[in-house]
Amino acid sequence: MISLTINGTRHELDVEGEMPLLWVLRDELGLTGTKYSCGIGRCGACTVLVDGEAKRACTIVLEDVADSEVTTIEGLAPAGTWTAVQEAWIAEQVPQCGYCQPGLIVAATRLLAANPRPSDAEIDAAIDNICRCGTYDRVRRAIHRAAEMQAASAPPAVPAPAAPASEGAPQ
Amino acid sequence: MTKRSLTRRVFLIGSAAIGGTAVAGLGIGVGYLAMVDVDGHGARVLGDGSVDLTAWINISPDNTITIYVPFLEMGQGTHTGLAQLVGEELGLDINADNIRVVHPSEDLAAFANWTMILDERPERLSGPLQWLGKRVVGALGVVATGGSTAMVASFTAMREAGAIAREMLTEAAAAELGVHRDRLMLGYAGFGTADGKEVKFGEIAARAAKLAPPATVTLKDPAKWELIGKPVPRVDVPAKVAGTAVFGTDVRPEGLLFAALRRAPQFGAKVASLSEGDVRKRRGIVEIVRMDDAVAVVADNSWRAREAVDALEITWGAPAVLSDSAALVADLKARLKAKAFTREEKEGDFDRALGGSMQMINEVYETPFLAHAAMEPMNATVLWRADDTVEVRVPTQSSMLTRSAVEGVGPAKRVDVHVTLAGGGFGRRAETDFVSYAARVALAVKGRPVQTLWSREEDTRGGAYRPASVAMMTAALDGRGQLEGLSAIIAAPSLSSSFMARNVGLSSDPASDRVTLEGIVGFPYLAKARRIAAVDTESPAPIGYWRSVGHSHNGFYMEAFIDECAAAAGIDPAEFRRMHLAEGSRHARVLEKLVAASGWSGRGGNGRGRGLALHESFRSVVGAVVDVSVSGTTVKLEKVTIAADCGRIINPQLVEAQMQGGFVFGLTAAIYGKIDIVAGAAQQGNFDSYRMLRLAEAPPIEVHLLDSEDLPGGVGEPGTPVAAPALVAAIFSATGERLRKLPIAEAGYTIG
Ligand code: FES
Ligand code: FES
Repeated sequence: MISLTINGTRHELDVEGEMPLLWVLRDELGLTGTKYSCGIGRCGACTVLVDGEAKRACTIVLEDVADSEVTTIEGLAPAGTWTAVQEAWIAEQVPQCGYCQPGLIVAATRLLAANPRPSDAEIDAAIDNICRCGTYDRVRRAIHRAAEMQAASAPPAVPAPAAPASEGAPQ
Repeated sequence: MTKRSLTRRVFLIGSAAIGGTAVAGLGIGVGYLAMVDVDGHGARVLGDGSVDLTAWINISPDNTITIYVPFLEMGQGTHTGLAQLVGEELGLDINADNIRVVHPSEDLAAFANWTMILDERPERLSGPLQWLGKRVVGALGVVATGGSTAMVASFTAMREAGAIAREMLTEAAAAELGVHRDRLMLGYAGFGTADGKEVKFGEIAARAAKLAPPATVTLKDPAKWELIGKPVPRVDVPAKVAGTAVFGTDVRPEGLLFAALRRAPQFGAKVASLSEGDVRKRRGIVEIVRMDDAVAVVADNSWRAREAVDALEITWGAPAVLSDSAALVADLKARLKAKAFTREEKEGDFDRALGGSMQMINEVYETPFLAHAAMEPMNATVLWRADDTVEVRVPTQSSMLTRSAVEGVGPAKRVDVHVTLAGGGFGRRAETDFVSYAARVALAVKGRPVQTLWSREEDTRGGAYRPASVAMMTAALDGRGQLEGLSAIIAAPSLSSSFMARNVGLSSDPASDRVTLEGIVGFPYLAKARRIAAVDTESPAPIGYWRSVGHSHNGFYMEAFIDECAAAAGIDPAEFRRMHLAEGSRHARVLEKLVAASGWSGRGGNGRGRGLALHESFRSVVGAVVDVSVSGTTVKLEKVTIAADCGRIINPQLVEAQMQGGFVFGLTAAIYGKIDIVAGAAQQGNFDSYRMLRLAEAPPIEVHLLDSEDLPGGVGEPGTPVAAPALVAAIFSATGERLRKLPIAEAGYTIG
């Protein structure tokens, strides 16, 4: 049994320790918001937060995240509400096909938690998710908008971890 | 309505199904065809108490209104744009909670995309041929998404559907409330009267369904439009932001199993032997399925299935034909040189124009095979029941081809196809291979639904590529830089015959593929003599429809070459085009808009460069200016400006997104895109070897749309063809180096 907390719910899992977290989420727990696209950590479609850090769920295995707190796209905001990032994503009408978007939203959430007012250069450095539909222009705009919204109002929906943002996009 | 599937018996199409061509003949009597309801204007009450008012609109007693959009939502926004049409006439807020926009699960004849097949706007078709064509395509159930046709095909039909439903509901509301219809006010999904009476659509839909649909309806005056032409938010965005949108890989029917596939590494190779080892004993493994050219493992988890299939020992037989991209290109070049034209069209005397000219320019261009790389890899979920009824959930561009693919696998009695959202498509989901593998796997574990998901590597290596091609471009200029003659010869393997043979089981003549010269036929530049010619060949590797299809290479060839001509003439590229475009033409108008919007001021230099391109495709004309700065071989994409005439704009924010996305798609191809096929095997696999443009590399893209009251043109594809020529022109302007072969990464360029 391996235990971990996903979106605030504790799970005891009788699953191989070497199973990538992505497939635990998708096929064992039915959390399909986290997507598979490359399986080698190159695209970011599977990005989740592990103890507040953005990680690519296809390249981390279950035993590495034992006892961790995992947040997926489904757990960013309480049901029926949006985080500032999600609201900005809607306002800027970012998604096209939408397949890459959960990963992008999670990555942007992490970026803003660590760096509440990122510059374009900082966004470029932190967000290297692939969007085949080419929504990059609107992604940039949505991150700036979310930053403004967060600055103007409440504390961020996801607690800011202490570490710097650079780890948000492992190769 | 009976569903009919596409079978060889009744399907006799000349060349392309997805991509468009004429229906050449048919094996169904006209008497039957007369009964085919291609208009879809009838009403019916369904078993669940909901009511269909026309084929496109369903109303539930609880006032849930479902709009059926018979086109795959793969990112292009078709569910939103087409729902706007119905919503406009029916007075709906399409973003409200009670509105659902879904792909229909029934292939009604009214949904058939005969615009795509007949390659003509519905508004322009008339007469017996149209009557026949509409009915044949409808009878065959050609429900298909492609060729940027959804809005073109639906602009009138779906507004009419909304108007017919409005009429019937108005009559029903008047009767229900006991007032004259003139006293009714249309609100969101209901009617009211000045004295406070109210009735919702859901309460009167059953009553409306008993009325005869009006034979004619008056559509709303464009001056009164509230949704059409407005930046209406996408109906699918909230679910896509919440992570709850259901793509093909996300369906989770009860008892779902997962299958991983290993296909032959070489195109055309077969399984020679399979040794299972102890794989069957592994945790969660349900079945090992040996097919002719692939092996699958079915398990209770995708990862377990993948690990297991990778552990199998498989030997593969040698394919009969070894496709090889380098050999193909060499062959195309040889045929070009030998002038082995399969088609040639001339205006004026090209050879004389060449002889008398001051300056002759003659260059060979080349583009490679490309994979689609949709972010959601190919997949399908199939339940093959013991009684041989089959249920398919799949992101597909054609439910018709899906059905026939399943029927090709086994004795299916009935095939229900549920089309999910798609994580990109770009033409790849017009194929049927992912359906037939999934169906074969499901047949092996009858009674349980199985999701067969390709790995990224399989997706990249899975063929149906944009074909590699070569072009010979020739121009003759007079002393003032005027074009005396312009010639374009395109050598490419025939896409349509490859697609048809693979997906429909029909052969068509590779020498008459209209895709090869798409975007070259009728090119806009005026010259005394013009020549176009094609060298079509059989394709060694499976090739298919790829966003913007023939335009994806031909736009590059023509526009990059025009930039060369301008440089040779010593004339600014915008001015050179102006000199050769018919005054007042769409191209000329887009060019002027582009020049103004981009602040075009001629060439760059000193490491800064600007490039311009202009191309018509899918009934839209798009121009782009790319700004770059180059240091050494590092190119920074500073900015892109796009001007586009897409006819009437239904939703400007969707069109902007498609222009941006289409352009990025073209940039990725121009910079990185290349599939090498060596000894029958595609060499690129994952995103490390088949690279995609990323956010840090992507330029800001500003889009300017021309006002137009013409019928709408396509928007999903026309942004793509201009990217490569504008980029290479910009690099030339900065460095003086001409890049005639894509991708430019092969010439040592990197993006900074
Ligand atoms: S699927 Fe994990 S990074 Fe691509
Ligand atoms: S929205 Fe389609 S891949 Fe990003």
